Amino acid sequence: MRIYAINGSAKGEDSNSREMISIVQGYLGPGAEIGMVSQIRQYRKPDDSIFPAMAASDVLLVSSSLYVDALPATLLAFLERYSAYLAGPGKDVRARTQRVFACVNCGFFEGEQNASALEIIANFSAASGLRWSGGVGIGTGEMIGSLKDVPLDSSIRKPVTRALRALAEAIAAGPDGRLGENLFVHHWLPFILYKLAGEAGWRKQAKQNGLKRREIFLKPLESANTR
Amino acid sequence: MKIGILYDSTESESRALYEALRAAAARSCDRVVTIDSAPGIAPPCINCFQCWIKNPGECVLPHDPAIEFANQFWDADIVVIVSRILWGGYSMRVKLYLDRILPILHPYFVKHNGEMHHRLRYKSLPVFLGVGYGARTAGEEATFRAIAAANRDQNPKGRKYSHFLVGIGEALAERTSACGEWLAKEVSK
Repeated sequence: MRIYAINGSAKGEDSNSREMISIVQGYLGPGAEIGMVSQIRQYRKPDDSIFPAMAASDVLLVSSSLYVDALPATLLAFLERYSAYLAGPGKDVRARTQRVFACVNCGFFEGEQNASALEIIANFSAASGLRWSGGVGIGTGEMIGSLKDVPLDSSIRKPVTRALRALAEAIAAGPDGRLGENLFVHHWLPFILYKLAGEAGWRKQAKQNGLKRREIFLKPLESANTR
Repeated sequence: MKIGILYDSTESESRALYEALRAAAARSCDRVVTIDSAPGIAPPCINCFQCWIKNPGECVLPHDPAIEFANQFWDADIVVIVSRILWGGYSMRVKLYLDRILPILHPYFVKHNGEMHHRLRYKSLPVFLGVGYGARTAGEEATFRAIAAANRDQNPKGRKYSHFLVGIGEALAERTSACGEWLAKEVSK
């Protein structure tokens, strides 16, 4: 089975989107042949020569983070180019059997906040003659990368890794494999703990940049306006 | 009251809707600021978060047209986003601008309407209202409604406002005047 994964993150290799692909790849095992494309690299330097291999794959896996309640603009640009390629001359869309899966994560707590981004990918699939086969929406997304050295079956990771395993199993189930419904999950910790840990993380990064705690609250546009 | 309008002058539908919106806004608001996404493919937000943890409130990308999205709209009461509907979301060209919103948000979290959102950096955040056209299926229209509602609900007081859709098969000319009336109603809320 040939799989093509789109890393939808603007951060490239060092991203939660890339890590989600790695987790799915791990569940698929060494037999799965996975091609990989970084949408941000494609945005900076478009290269259509990858499309024949993408179109010939059995499965397309779109992995992204949430940008303002939807997909990043640069990922849209890449999907538009792929869709245009598929609509080009000599390509019989009706005969196409490519299944499309997706995983989208956000920094908010609730996985459900990714629902519309998954819908966009479902609509892209329908408009491009591909078969939407389900997706996973993950909240607490910043923890995907930060916990990558913690065992996959640890309590805190389990809701997320179980959903990604279900996605991998649907991919591996053959031509009719699909998720019965989109899955929405977050790491196993209470809302308040995630909020506090997240905010401490931002403070730590700000401090590393030489900022004082109160400077995180700066209002430069307000100051510019009252000058 | 201040209103911001983001539109795409390369599309005739967007131009027509924009004209109606601008006329309606000019009648009821003392400040109307518009941004046309046409001048170029703006550099994308790369989620570097430097506007939160290095230069709080300021984008670190070199000055470009899309930076105006934050700089011009940060203190608007309402921002109307006029866009062709692409698979249920905003078009790529418009979304490049919308993605540059991060500097006016704060990295900390709050909970409102039962969901986690970003704390506001300034006293208030504009209410973002979507105006969409060109959907190809009812499914795309439904997705657009959900996304417009999610954008709007970033503002804790956003729920009383609505979006506007030129639906499949509807005549643009008729909907254009309805669009101006819609904005007048939203502004009066």
